[in-house]
Amino acid sequence: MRSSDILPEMPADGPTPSDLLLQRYMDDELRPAERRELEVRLQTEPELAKQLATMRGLSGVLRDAREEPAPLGVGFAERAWSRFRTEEVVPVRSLHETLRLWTLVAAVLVVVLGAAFWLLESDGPADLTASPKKSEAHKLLEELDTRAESLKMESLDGGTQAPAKRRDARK
Amino acid sequence: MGSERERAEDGTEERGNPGLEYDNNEDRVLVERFIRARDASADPATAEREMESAFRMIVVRHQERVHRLVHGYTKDPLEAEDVTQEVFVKLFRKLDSFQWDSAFYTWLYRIAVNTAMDWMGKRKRRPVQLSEDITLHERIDQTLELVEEPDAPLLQSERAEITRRILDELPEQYRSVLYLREYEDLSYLEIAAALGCSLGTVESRLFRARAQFRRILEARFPELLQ
Repeated sequence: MRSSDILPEMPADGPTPSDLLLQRYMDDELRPAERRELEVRLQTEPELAKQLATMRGLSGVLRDAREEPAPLGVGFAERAWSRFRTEEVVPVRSLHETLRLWTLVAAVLVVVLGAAFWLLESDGPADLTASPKKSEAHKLLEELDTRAESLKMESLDGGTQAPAKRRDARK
Repeated sequence: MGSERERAEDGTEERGNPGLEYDNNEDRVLVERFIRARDASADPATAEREMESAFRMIVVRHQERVHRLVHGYTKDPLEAEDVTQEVFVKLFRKLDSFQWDSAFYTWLYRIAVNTAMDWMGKRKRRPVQLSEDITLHERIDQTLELVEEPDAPLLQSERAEITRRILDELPEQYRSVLYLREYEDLSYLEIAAALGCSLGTVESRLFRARAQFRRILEARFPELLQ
C-alpha cells in the first residue's frame, strides 16, 4: 500500500490536531503522560498507527540522506581568527570613507543651492531668458512702470495746471 | 495538555536533547574571557593572545555543527568553509548583543542560518550557471543515469542523492526547519530560537515541509517510501 493511501493530502488550511499530535510523538516532543495516552490509542486505532508509520518512514528517508561534509581543513580556527582580525577594521575604514563622501556631497549641495538662490534673487539675464513667459512678464512690468511713471508726471502737471483751467472756465 | 511552552520545555527535558550535551556555561566563560581581553586597557600583546585563545576555543567547540549546517546549503566544500568563517566572524562581532537568555549554540545556529540564507540570496542574484539552469526532474534524471541497472533497486547512495536533491527544491524556510530537526536533531524550542519564530510556526512549518517533501517523492519515487 502506498503512503498516499494512508496519509490524506494535507488540508489547505494546515495540519489537523491529530497530525500535530503524531508529529510531536514522532519528534519526541510530548510529555510522558501524553505519550502514554497516545500509545494506548495507537494500539487500538490501526489507521493512526499506519499514519505514524508513514511519517516515520519519511523521516527515515530524510535522515538516511544526511550528508557528512569533508572535515574542515587543519587550522580552520586560525584562519577564522585571521579573517576576524582583518575584517574588524573594515567597517571603521568604511565609516570614514562614507563620512568623507557625505561631506563632499553636502558641500556640493550647498554650492549648487547657493548659486541657484543667487540667480533667482538677481535680475540677471539668465533669469529673464530662462522662460519666454518670464520675459513677457518682465516686458509687461516695464511697460506698466513706464505708464505709471507717465501718469504720475501727468498728475503732477495736472495738479499745477488745474486751477488755471478752472479760472479760464469761470471767465 | 499543558501550554505550548510548558510542553516544549518538558519536551526538552524529557527527550535527552543532544543540544544539552553542550555546556552553555563553558561557552559563557569563554565569551566573557574574550570580552574581558578585548576591553582590557593593559598590555595589548597579552590581550591579543587571550582573545585569540578564547576565539579559537569557541570555534573548535562549534565548527563541526556550523560547517555541516552551512554545507547543507552551499553543497560546496570551499564555499562551505568560507561561509562558516563568515558565521564565526559575525558571531564575534555581535557578541555584546547576546543576552544569555537562550542557549549560546541556538544563537549561533541563527547566525549560521541567516548567513547561509544571505549566501543563497547572493548566489541567486549571480548570473545563472549552465549547470544550475536545469529542472529538478532533469537533475534527478541525471542521478538516475548514473545508476548502472535502472531496474535494480536503488542503492543507498542513490536514494540519498535523490532525497537531497528534492530537499534542495523545497522553499528555504521548509528546508531550514527540516535540516534542524532531521539532521541536527534540535527540539522544537531550539528550532524556534534558531529561526526566530514561534513554536506553533515550527510545528506547522515542519508538517508542511514534510508533506511537500513527501508529495514530490511520491510522485517520482514512491518506492523510496515503502
